[in-house]
Amino acid sequence: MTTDQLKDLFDDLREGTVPTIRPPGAAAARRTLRRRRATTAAVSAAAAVVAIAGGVTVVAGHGEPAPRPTLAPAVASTEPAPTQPEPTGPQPTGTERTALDAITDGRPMLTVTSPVVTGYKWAKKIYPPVVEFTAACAGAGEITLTITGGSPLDHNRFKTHDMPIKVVCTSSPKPVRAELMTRIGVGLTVRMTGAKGTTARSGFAFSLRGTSGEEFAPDDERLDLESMVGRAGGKLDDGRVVRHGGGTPSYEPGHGFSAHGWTQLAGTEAYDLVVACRGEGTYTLELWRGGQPDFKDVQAGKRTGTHVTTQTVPCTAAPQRFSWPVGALGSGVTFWENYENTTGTIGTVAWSLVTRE
Amino acid sequence: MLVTTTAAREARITAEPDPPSFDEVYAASFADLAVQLYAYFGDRQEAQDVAQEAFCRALARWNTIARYDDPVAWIRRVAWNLAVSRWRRARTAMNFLRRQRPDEPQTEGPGPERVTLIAALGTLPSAQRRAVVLHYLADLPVAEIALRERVTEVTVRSHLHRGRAALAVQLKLTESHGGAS
Repeated sequence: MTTDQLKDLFDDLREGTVPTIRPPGAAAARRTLRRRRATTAAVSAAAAVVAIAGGVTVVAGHGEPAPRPTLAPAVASTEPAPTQPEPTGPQPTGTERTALDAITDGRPMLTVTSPVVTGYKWAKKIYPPVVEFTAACAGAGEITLTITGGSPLDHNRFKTHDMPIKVVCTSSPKPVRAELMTRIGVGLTVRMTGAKGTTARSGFAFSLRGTSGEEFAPDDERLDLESMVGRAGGKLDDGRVVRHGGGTPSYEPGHGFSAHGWTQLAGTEAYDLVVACRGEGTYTLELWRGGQPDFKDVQAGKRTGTHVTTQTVPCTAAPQRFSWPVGALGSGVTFWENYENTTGTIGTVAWSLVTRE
Repeated sequence: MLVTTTAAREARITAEPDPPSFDEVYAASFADLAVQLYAYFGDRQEAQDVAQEAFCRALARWNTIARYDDPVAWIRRVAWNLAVSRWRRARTAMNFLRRQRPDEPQTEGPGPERVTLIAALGTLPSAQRRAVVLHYLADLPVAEIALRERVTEVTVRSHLHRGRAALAVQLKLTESHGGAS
């Protein structure tokens, strides 16, 4: 049989089968998604209630009872969303004030104002994965604000791109809005890359606001997962963090556990495992004590060594910190992880091993 | 003044050309994807279920995926991941139950040539079967299959060679009994 013959057979298969396919339809996909989101919201709400009551959602693996957490969640669910911080610098006036008034609506957000000046540039590290950008300009002319940031392209790959937004300056500014999908915790830059017909009296304002779940301000460092588990200046960053990890745990939910890494430890120290997850669904971390696993076993998803603990945390838009005592881990430990959700949302996690005090 | 929908839309248009809508991509790609999965599973309903699940996951983050150069590639990748994942195995019992329903819409069965080809494909090891289907039905080049399967291009060529050889044997056997021509 030649390749051409085989190609003909497959072409015939395609032509003959396509008419028999009965697509459920795009509307059915939307209905499915709405139902799943409603379910996820209910599950997240339930998890929050459990956290308030003093417990956590813990799944014990291999028949072992799950120890209670020893640290309270860093973000208490009962805390209200942060409000817009009181401005500490000089209050904007004139056209800047007019532009600012056009974009503020009482919701928590980060606001910036400036006169229209050549070479304007503003940069900040932000935390929410989805940010709503709103801009307005008062006075005369038109400006172009170009937003530069990283956006999720694929598993562990991110693409930096520019998004130019034109804003017309008028005496009654009309806000323009764009939704930004960003890499969490990366720098976002806003530059003025164009101005036509503006005057020295033109002024503009823009705001950034998280859109997922509770409305957090973009610079709310309570959303910084690494700080939450003791890294990057977090509360535990006092030398007790001996190992840490995280990132984007799984490109394709439902794909099962994958090896996250293996590390050597002192062997006799007792540790706490601290985990925080942003996303939708759950993140599970398994710890296995023993020597470095064989590559083939890792590829096959085969655990080796002695099971230490399995802990599952809820992933939410406003992440919480969970902690469990895991005792001494011996000289080596392998981490296996699994991120499960039903909506396809990319999750972000951070964990650390902290020496017990 | 509150943000208006029109203003938001203008911002997007200014930023980049309109990306394809979910409905457009769904209409253009669902059947092709389902056929590829059908050739892999040998089960049309299961193929449709997996394709639909992949589109649901794409819809969940369509604002991002629509801006990709090739949104269908993302959906195809998710569909094939699902095809070999626990998700599909977990669906087996549900599918079995659903098929017991008397009101399942019926479609005309495939002709003998297609039955023979699907049956022959079913005899191939899964890696070879995926390589053959992705090459002949999804029209993916060897390099892209290698990337997707996380193997070398040499391995993909080997899978294709062995798959072709096995299919040739299977289909010739059938021919000798007067089946497919």
